[in-house]
Amino acid sequence: MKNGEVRSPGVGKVIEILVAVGAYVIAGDEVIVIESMKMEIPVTASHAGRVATIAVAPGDQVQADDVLLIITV
Amino acid sequence: MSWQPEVDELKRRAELAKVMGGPENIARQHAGGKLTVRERIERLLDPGSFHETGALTGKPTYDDTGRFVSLIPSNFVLGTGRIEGRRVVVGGDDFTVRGGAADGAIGYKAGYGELMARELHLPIVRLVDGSGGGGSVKTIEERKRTYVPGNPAWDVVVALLSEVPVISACLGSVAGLGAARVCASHFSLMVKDTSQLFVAGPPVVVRGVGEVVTKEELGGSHIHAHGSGAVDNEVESEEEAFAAIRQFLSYMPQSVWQIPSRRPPDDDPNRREEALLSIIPRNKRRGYDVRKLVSLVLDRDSFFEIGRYYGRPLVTGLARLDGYPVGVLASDPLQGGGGLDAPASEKMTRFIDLCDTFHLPCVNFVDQPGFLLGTVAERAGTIRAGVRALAAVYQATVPWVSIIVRRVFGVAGAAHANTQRLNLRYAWPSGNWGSLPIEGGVMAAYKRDIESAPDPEARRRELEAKLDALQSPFRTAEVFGIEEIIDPRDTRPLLCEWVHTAYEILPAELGPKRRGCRP
Repeated sequence: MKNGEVRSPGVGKVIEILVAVGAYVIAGDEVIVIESMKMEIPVTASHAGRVATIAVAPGDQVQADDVLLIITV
Repeated sequence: MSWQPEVDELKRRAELAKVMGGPENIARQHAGGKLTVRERIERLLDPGSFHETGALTGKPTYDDTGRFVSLIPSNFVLGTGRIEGRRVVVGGDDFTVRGGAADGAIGYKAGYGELMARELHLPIVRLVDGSGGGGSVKTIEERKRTYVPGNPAWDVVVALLSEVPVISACLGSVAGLGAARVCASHFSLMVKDTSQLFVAGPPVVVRGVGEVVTKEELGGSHIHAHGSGAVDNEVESEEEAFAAIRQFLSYMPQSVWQIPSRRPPDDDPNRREEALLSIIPRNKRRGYDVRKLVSLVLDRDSFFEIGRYYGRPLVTGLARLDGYPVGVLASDPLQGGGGLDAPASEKMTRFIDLCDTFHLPCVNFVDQPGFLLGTVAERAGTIRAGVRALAAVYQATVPWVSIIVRRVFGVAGAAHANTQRLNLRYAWPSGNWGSLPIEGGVMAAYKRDIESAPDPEARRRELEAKLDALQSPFRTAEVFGIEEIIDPRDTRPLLCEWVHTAYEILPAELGPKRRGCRP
């Protein structure tokens, strides 16, 4: 995972965004939920920082490694 | 007159070998965060157990009168030694002499080591650092000719995979034949930051495909122990590498002609963990920590994971039940829902071949939604890789038991065992199965019915609810479609009873399998 970027762990659909732009998160915080193979997969922040950009919206289809949001460290 | 002068000479020459590539090269090796080959061997093996073969091999210099002056030792150190008292063959490149390239090896020590492992039925550990027996362009200048490459001893390298445990550690920048030897193993690992593996290194890459990359970008552990799957495990240090090798070997027999050895059990075979009763969420869309699940069932702290960061929807590893080594497979619902993708299928194939080859009974914790879906998965050839994993399941003849913890769907789900055999299995009450999941499956099977309804959406929901009510695992049990549904807390006692039976069967099963083990 590149610094600052939270990427999709796999193919699926974005079903929930748990943070807003500007929110402060720490490593391990769940930030987005992806649905894949009918399972809800929580995606966590890899490090602490502020949410700078949210690149997806609920309902978006994503592939593995797509950037979901960016955290400024 | 005794032979004492020659025996003294023997000792003097053996001491020369220990000098390796000299203090300067050794200092450089240490500065790179790496141990020398002799330090590695010493740390890997039980103290004082190393017996070297070919210590006298090297490039000698003689003075004008023909008297021996000194010797640059061969850059491949070979011998046998013990790991937890069990004899193994160990061989490693000495990077301090000619960068580990084959022209510094002299004779074919590495090949001799492979033959020792094969004919003495001993596990082999390769400590690869350099080109691992591969050539160097310098040989052209020396020999004034080139040669047709032949991968020396490769027949033995391949045969070993079906006969004795083969372990390789990638401990430096390893290219070509060295990289191939690392991969031609049952278990391989590399050290984060200090080791790299590639077909060819950066200078060759830039000339070949014009790509300008560093060694680490090209073949660091973040590539091979993660995405590529070329190497099984990543470790943080060389010490950790030796500990992992020792642990891996502890589950393995000496060869396919022996039974994996039991350890004095240190855990209660009848332990029933309360947490198992609620570890699977009632909400079908919620995952759980599969590593925690298997740890609650297996002997305490006995689970040794192989290939954690590759093919992540599938978790594979070795463990113990009442002291007996077993192979463990489980799906991780938090990785792509646990659906088998191409890498996970490849991982499954290799792991089953490993267990089957060495007669390690298998426990499969099943929660399989099916092969991964979608265009990316199709382009990756998921179905081909998956069918190969199916073939591995059906070719395996080792004792096998499945614990169905949740989903069993599709062709991938059907491959939880060879269903034409006894197919010993126990389902948890959270069991949920079918050829297709109801959601999605309804739309495929009742398309016309739904589309012709006045309110298609309502009709779809109605059909789904109707079929959902029929999904209780008890209905399947009523027709012996599942033989047993158990209290999840009984899983460990049942498996511990099974493993005793499995090990009683093994003596009649020993020897190589008809199917060879492929890397």
